[in-house]
Parts: sequence; structure tokens; C-alpha cells
Amino acid sequence: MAGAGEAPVFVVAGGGARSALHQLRLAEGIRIVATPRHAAVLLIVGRVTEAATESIRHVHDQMAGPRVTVAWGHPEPTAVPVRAATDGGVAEATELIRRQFHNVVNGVIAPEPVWLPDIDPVEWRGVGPYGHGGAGMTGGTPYGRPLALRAPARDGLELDVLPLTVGPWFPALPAGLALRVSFQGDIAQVVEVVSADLVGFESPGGVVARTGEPLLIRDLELARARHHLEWMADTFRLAGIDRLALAAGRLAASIDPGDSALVDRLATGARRSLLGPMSLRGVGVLPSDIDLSGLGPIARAAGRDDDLRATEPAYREIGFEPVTHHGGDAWARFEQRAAEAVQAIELAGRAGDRRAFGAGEIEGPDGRHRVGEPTPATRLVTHLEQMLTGLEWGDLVTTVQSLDIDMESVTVGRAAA
Amino acid sequence: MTVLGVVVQVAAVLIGGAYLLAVADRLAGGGSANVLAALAHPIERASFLLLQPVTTTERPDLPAWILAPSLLAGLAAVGAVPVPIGGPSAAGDISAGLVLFGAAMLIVLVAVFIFGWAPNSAMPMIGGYRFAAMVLSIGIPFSLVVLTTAIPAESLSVGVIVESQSNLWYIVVQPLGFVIYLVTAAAIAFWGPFDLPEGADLAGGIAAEAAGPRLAMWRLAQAALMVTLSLMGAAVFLGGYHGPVLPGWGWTLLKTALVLLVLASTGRTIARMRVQRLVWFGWVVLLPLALVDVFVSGWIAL
Repeated sequence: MAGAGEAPVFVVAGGGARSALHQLRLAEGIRIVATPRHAAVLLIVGRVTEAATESIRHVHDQMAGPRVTVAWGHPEPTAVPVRAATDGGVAEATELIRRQFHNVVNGVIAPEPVWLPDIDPVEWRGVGPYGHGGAGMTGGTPYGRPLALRAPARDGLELDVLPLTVGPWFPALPAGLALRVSFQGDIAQVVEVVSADLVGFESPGGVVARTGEPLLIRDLELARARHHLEWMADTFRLAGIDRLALAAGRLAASIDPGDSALVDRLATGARRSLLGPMSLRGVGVLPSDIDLSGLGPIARAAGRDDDLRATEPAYREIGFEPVTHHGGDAWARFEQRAAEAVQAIELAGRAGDRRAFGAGEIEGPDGRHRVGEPTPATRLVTHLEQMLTGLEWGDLVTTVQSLDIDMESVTVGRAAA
Repeated sequence: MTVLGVVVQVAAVLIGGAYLLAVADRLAGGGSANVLAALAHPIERASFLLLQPVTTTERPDLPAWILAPSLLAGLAAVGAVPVPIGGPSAAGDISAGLVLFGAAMLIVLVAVFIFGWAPNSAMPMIGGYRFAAMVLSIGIPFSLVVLTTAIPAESLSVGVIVESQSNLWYIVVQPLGFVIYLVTAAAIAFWGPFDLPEGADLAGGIAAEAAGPRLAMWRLAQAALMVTLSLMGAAVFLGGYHGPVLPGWGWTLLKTALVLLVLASTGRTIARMRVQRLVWFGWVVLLPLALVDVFVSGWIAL
């Protein structure tokens, strides 16, 4: 009975796994869960680096058990001992995950033991059952952990502060991004990006290095529409509107030049679900001193008419005009990406076999990619600490999601610059 | 009816309702295409959870963690006791039944907070904080609209309130009260769009560290709480057991299921509210509207 149900899967998503993961979410018989505690299967999908080994081991051991680990789409074996692996498509991966789940639940295969020793991360230094007995009012640092201490009051309310690292596989943040946060209640008083390249990339130059000759506009625009739809699916999921998330994911998986009305309908559904007033409006406004040029939809959502496609003759031939929105908040970015997805599908329908770009630059779904220039994601990550400080945790997550940061692109961009 | 009879009746309604809610939630979220798969889903999930070992975290407050799901389930049961199911004579119908219900629903805050606090982990704890902020903001409008139904009936006994609706359901005279009741009830049961303590941004929030039997118990308790809130909503606004043809208990259960289904479908179709907006919404929108409901109902009753 237990093994017949959905396999609860926790995903560690490496480089190049974005679309595959979105397709897996549509598969029957699999439920992707928010915390390893609720999972029986750990799925490592895409490219992860050696540096990620330790964090993956930690995630693995948090699974309640019976547990099993599966790898999908790795060019080379990972540093962790996986039980089964596949390089196939979504159907094979789904089948493999379901079979492993069924086997481990029914005792056909032995559940995996924990990979790390079950000991206290820091040696016991306190007195008594709760580690009290240190110096000072709160007992100093019993148990080797910084206990709640007073932090300077940022908003006039003095609360205890709790230092914590969130990530790198926190499901509501981009895969591979870890933040060191000092919480006061649910306010992030101090935010620091932990720099470690955990997500592997395919080629050092990223998307521009692979574009030696002009690209088919049709392919480029359909990829853009798919990218935005996947982003919309994630946004819906974060806001708890699962039905729309599934609809967006299905549309992304089968994108076609005739689909623009369907995307329009999805955007209408989003408005009816009150996504703007309930969760996105007024959240994630960028500080005014950030240079928006080249940030693609983020710049255009703030009213900036900034798009490399406007300079390409082939795009002008098919009647391209940049779309913009006003407000520059998370809701404007949602409307911007929804409008760009519709526009991209229409452009793909009109493009024929026209080609554009190829001279070392390209207007990607997330903005301008140019040889020798940091990628939009790399630039955004450097501004995160400034943007996120002082935000309520839910708003912080919404803000990061609205920026559409891909850690693979961050790594590539760092190397390029 | 004996005490044992009341216990069996409440348990049957809550567990049956919880199962219905789990199936409806599954269909509303689009997770299952067909009804048969949705019907099997809660049983499959529960059987997996019951098979899992009990996990722990580093230095949890174990007694509190073990107790919280039972406390929540107990509060749901206490809230359901004063509601008459089949007809005017309910064994659990005490003279101040509405007050007992209101008190039990506000103590839900304690159960949810300690469930977030106990595992000694950050995301559950933040979920607990959030729920405290939520209940402080919507608790007063919730209590006000519940108590307002006592004005036309001139009694705090749920049995008398239902009996006095034989000609006119209170949803007709207090439509605003019913809407506020639905909104605040969803918030008290931390159900979407007010599932902030368990939001995706907290990776499961208060339940992020719970697994196995403990998680199963917590889910059951939450669903039972939803059933209790629907049962009371059906009793004090929709006329409870009053209705033609069907027996009294049939009407009570039908109306309860209807409220439950409305809550289940809005939970998956409306986006989750930000906590700041919810606090604002509670104090600036719901509280004045609840007061309007009290004054208008009082004026009509006079």
C-alpha cells in the first residue's frame, strides 16, 4: 500500500537541470517535496561540483527513511554514492524513481544508512540539560552555538537575533544559492551571500560562447517563452497556487507557436488568483543606485526600454517592439515576463527562418549576455545583500524568485568577467 | 446520548470530514486527474507515513513536540462537541457552547506555536511566530462574528441558535458575518491562502522537521480542525439540521461538507497572502467589518 503511492522526492538541482526538473514535476506518481524530512528519494539532477558533496550528504541524512538516492543526467559520476542513475529522459527517470521508492519501502532493497556520523556538530560545552551555565545574561555560548543575543534595533523593536545559513539546496531559493542570515523573528537583519560554486556548468563561456553563428529567431524565442513559463510555474508554486503551476509547467513542456492565447489565459488566471495584491505587489523594488542596463525583463519591468533585439534588423523586420511595464516590483516583473512570453511565441510564429545575433552578444531570457561581460545573474548576485537586508523572510524569498537568478549562469559570468 | 456516544459521533464526523478534505484538496490542487486516484491518495500517503521511523532533531523539546498534534486534535474535538448533529437534543450542547468553541479555536495558537517551537529548528520556529502574528490579527473579528449569531437567538447555546433558524438561516441576516467567518476560519486552520506557518517560503514551516507518524497525526489534526470550523459554520449560519426531506444529521453533514469544499477549493486557487498584508487586513479591514456586523445584527434584533 505504502509503496503504491506517490514517491516523495527531494531534489538537489545542479546545472542544466531546469527544464528537466519542470518536466519531472508533471510526471504522475512523483511528488516533489519542500524538505528532505518528507522525502524517501533524494534525486540529484544535473551537474554539481565536488564542493557540493558535503552539503548533499547533509541533505541526505535529513531524510526520515527509508531512504534511497538516485542520480539523473550526470555527465560523470558524482562524489556521493548513488543507488541508481539514469541518463535518459523524463519517462525513464520517473520510472527509476518510482521503482526505487517501491523497492525500498517494500524491503526489496535495503534502505541507505546515514552518510555522516550522527554526532553533535559542536562539542558539548554547557552545563545542565539545556546548556545553560555560561557567562552573561543568556548564558554566553553554551553548546558551542551563538545563542540568541541582542542585536541593534533596526526598526525600533529589540529582539533576539538568530544567525543561520539557508541553502544551498533550500527549495524556495535558486538551487546552489546559500545565504547567511541573521534573523530577528522573521526579519532578515543581515544577509550575506555564501560564495561557493556548487552548480556545474556546461561550457566556460556560457550561452554566448556557443553562439558562433546567427541563431534561428524561432528557436531563440520559443526558448525564451519556455524559460518565462517555467519561471511563472515556480512563482505560482511559491504562492501556493498549484493548479496554475501545473498549467504553466504543461505549457512550458509543449511550447508551440500557436500557444500565445493559452499564455494569455494563464496570466488572466494569475490575476484572478489575486497573485498581485496578495503576495507580489510592492515587493522587491530595486534600489535606485543599481545599473539596470542589460538586466532584461527586470529593467523592462521598471519602465526601461532596454532590449538588444531592438538593434537587430531581423527582429525589426518581424515588427519587434520592446514591451515595458511600470513599478519595478515583483508584480511588474510577473506581468513583464507573462507579456514577453506571449510576445516571444508570436515572434516565433512570424520569424520564418530569419536569424539574429551571433556577434558575441545575445538578448537572453534574463537579459544581455556579451562576451567578456558578467552575466545578468552574476551582477544581480552582487546586489543581493543590499537588496535583501531588512526584509521579512517571505518577501526576501519572493524578491529572489522575482529576479530569476540561475546559479549556473552566476558561475559562468564570474569566470567570464 | 451517553458520553461514549458523543465521543464516537465527534470522532466519526471529524475523521470522515478529514478524509473528504484530503480528497478535495488533492483534486483542487490538480495533483490527480481522476477521482479514484484522489480517493486512494490519502490512504497511500498515510500508510507511508505510518511506516516511517520516528525522527528527531538536535535537542528538541520532545514532550511539547509529541503533545502538540494531540492538543490540536483535542481542540478540534472540543470545538465540535457543542454542535448538534441530528436534532435539537445534543448531549454535548452546553448553555455556553459558543464560548467553549471560541475558546478552543483561539487556543489553537498554542498548539501550532509549540509545534513550531519544539523541534528546535529555524523554519518551524519562524512559522510559529507568523501564526502568532496572524491569530492576534484575525482572532477578534473571528470571535465577534461567531458571537454575533447569538444575538438573534438570544442564547450562547449552539442548540438554541440552530433551533431558532427554523424559519430563516442566519446567513440571510448576517451575510457579512458568514464571509468574515470563512476567511478567519481558514486563517485559524492555517489553510490556504492563509497557510503562512507552512508556506513554501519556509520549506514546510512548522511541519518542516516532522516526519512519519508525527506528521500524519499533525495533518489529521489540521484537517479535523477544518471540519470543526465547517461544522460550526454550517450550524450557526446555514441552519444546521434544518431542511426538508433528508433527516437532520443528513443536512448537518451536507452543509458541513459544502463549507469544507468551499474552503478546500479557495485554498488552492487564491495566492498566499504576505504576513504584513494579513496583519493589516485583520486590523484595518476585518475588524471594522466585524463591528459593522455586530451593530447591524444588534439593530435588526432590536
